[in-house]
Amino acid sequence: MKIDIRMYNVGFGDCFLVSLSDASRKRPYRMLFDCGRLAGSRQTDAAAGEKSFEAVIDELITDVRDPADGVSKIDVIVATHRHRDHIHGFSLQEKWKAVEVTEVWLPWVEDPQNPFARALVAKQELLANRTFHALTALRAAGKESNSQADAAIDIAYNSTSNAKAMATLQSGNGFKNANPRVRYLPRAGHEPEQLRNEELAHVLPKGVIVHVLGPSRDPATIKLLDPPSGAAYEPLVPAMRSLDDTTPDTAEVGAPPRPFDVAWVVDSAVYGFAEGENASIEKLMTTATLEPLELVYRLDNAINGTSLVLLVEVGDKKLFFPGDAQWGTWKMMQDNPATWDLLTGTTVYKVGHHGSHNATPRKFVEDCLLPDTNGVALISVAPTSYGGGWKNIPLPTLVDALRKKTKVEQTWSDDPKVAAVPYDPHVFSTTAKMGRP
Amino acid sequence: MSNSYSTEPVEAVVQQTPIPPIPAPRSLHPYRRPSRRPLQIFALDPMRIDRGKSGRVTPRATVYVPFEDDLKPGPRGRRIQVIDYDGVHRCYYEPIDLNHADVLIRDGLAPTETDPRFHQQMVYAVVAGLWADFETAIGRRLTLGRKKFLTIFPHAFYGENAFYDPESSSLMFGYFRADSTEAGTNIPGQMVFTCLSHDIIVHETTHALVDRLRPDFMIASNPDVAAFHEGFADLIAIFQHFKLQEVLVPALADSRGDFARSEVLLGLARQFGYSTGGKAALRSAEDGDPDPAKYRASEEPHERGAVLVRAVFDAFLSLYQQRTQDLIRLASEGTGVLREGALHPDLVSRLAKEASALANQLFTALMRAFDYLPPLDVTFEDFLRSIVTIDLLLSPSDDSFRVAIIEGFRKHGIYPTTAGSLGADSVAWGGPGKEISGFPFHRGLLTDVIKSLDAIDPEGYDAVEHMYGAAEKSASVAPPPDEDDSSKQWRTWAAELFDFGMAHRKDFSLDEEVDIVVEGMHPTMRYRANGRPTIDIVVRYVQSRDDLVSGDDLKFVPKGGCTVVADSNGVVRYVITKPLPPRETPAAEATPLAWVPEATRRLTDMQDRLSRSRSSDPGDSYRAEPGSQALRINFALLHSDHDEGSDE
Repeated sequence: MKIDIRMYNVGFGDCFLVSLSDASRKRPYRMLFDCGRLAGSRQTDAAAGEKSFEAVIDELITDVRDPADGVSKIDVIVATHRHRDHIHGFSLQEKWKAVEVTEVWLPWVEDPQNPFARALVAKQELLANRTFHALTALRAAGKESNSQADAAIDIAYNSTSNAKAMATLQSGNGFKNANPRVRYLPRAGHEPEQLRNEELAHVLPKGVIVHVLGPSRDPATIKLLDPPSGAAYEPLVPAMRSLDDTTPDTAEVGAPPRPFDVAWVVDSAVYGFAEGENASIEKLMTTATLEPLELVYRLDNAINGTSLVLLVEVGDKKLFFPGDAQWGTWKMMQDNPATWDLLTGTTVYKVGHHGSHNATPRKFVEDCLLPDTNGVALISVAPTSYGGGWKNIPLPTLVDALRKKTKVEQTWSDDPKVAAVPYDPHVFSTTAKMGRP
Repeated sequence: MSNSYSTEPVEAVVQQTPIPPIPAPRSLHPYRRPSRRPLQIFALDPMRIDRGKSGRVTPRATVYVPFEDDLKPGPRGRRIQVIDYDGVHRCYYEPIDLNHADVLIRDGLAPTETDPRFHQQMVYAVVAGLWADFETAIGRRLTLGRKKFLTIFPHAFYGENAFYDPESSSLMFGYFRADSTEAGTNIPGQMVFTCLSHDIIVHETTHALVDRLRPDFMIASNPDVAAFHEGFADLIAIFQHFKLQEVLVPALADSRGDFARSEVLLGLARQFGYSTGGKAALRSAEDGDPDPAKYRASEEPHERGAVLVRAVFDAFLSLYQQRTQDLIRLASEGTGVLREGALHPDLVSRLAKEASALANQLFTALMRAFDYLPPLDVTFEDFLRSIVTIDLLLSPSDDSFRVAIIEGFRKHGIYPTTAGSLGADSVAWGGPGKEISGFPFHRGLLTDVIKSLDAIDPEGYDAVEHMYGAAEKSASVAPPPDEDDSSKQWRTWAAELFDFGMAHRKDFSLDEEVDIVVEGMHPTMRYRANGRPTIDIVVRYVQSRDDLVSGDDLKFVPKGGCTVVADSNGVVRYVITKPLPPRETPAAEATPLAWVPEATRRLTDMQDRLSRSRSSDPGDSYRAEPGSQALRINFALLHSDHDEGSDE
């Protein structure tokens, strides 16, 4: 069976199309893993041959067109988790009206029928709102630019409900056909979950097994997904609080309340500081944004922890898509010998969380990834618009380790050792030997 | 006093005597400087009082802090400066002038939530009072050395948090508006000030003072280090509260003197458990037996710190019972069972006195234990051993205190893993095992040493706590140009201590190839069993091991070190070590060094923690310098973490 994987250059975000072709069906079986872009992703560089996000989606929709009837068809859309940089593409609702989608797979925490999941998502969303507004208000009050806070505002925004995109995926009328089947994985009582032939016959070729390795339903692991409340920031949230998919107007953001009447405010001269003393005091106070910043990181981590982690076994080839799973999920996989055994011999690895520090254990690179040109690691990143950017996404030492082990494809790199990055297309093709039981 | 009697002035017998001549004018008698300044504070957090239940105003107290006559508005003193800069609104609030006559005459401003100047007064009062208590307990003066000031920002930022920032040597207090829906005992939408909470102030100040005594405790090289910082700070906050009679007396009256079953006092103690988790920390008395497995199982600093709090608090309860049972028997005609109804105020006052004295004894013991703590990588076991060591030295004949401490710790799973038994002699630190002589102690320094022990004298000498290493030795670091004679003497001494440490690296479980640094040295005075005072010298040696940096992109340098305690005869009495594996295993050595397995274990554990600490930091990738803060304790995060977790 032929396997083609295309990594679309969407900027900072994920969008992967897996096509499986065999004699059983004329058109290839298509699985789409995510389609999103971070708000703070660097603007498209047209001169370097990059396309706008919309143009990329158009191209994707063209790529999946069935020559027989000219209709774009995707067998399975996998939306790994609710972050904007993974699903924002689905909020462009008009585009998806042209696509036939047979199934949508989402992590179980998005199941609207599950009261626990609903509460969890609501809590995450509440924190996203609170921290977004807290940071925006504190930044507005402080006025000076603080690139770390700017970035955190985008990370918080990335974590909001993304309601429009979720509606496309879940409402039943987001695509050309009505009511595609939506699966929330893994199902309760099915851990570890395995989807085999009989269950997948209409969407994937015979012999393909999908292993669902996350998100866990284990209470101890779920606890990590449950972020703090950030209740102290509630008063900073304006009445019109929904962030949804529209960039909020910063003018509507409430200023933090004053602790005292302005009559108590005095000129710094009253303190009789020595030369330069007040400047250094005032500089200290980036503190003002420190806590919501940390809450944002935890929220980001919590939502990454909801990632649907799939290992697609196609004959002798293993395609591993862990979404943005970070340390908690990885630790669970690492501690389970059966799971680790499954991951051993991974052919294609979609590098977790754009190559950040705790989304790919060294042990995985060393023990599991297939060496040399038999395998490939795919990293979808782009610079961000914040001063200095994120120097460690992707983490240079991780990229080096991956390079030592296997072939690496990156949508972007600032490493001078990496010769001219071919922006598009990134396609990895291989042939799987079928017939494994 | 109500029962004091007054006497009517007796009519004087008028005698006709000649009026004496007016003496020649002379200079007036100067007023004697007061040594203390009284200041009013809120005794309990005004935000956390259960108003419905108590129906009372927030308890207030007056504390007495060292009098600084040149205190500037702020207040800004010689070591503590309060600067009311609001980082959110980018403005300064009007500073209080504690030397203004209108303020002086009424013991400072009366407690109020609405005047920022009272907030400034309260943080200053609590910090200065605690600092003085620290100095009294450790028996010497404590300044901040190069950092000079502890700067306090009572309204630094918007948020439900407060923390100590070692970088800037400052305490940052947040303010926030109570949730409009879930306000608990607060008025919905009310502004809440963390700087008005006595226990939050004490807790954060304790972090700062512990950091002054042991700067390397900021590196969480084992799970106990951060937990020690948290647990210790909570213990100090609890015992500081027991010193406030305004709180203790009514609480004891309400609970009929029984601490262990007293809802009010345990409730209070819980409320003080600011960081180790109000509800969780002090439950043992009512929840049956403590669980010794909890200590090994909890890695999270607050949970683990709560184990330390409970261990010490259990010792407190048991000692309180021992020391008050005679009073209870007296008051109950020998039955030990008190009659129904309110206790006699005299009994309450005696019980409060016992509780206070005991709290003070514990506070002193916990503080003095620092002289025997290693310079880094502290464990609860080290702390226990140090407390027992100092108690054995201070009170060799009465063992009730150390027995209660050992038992309190044992019940919570903390005991020395290497000691043969739980007898005080084997729990206490042992001697160095061999005679180490030649410790440089100059009798010529004695005057300065004695001066440095004077905690009250504002001009008193602070022991040299500046680092002294190879750089200073080789004079590549120039001494300060305005150095006075006595400072010069201390530097000479530091140089000799450096040489002594270098020569004895092997005895101190340090690497013989790597330079050491004298991280600090100070005299400490104690009374011998025969009642005579004696002076010991405490030196901390630290060794940075660049050669052990793991190949990753981390800027983390493992450190080894030891605390050496010598007496004034130059005899080394204790060497408390935290070894790291030597650079090369000395093959020539006939017998392998006994401490190497322990050193290897330490290093492996540290490296393991290092990689886990980074993996579990959700923000590592987004930070300006990823990885640089690995294992470094960040109180801002630690506390916010906790507060959020406990509001379930």
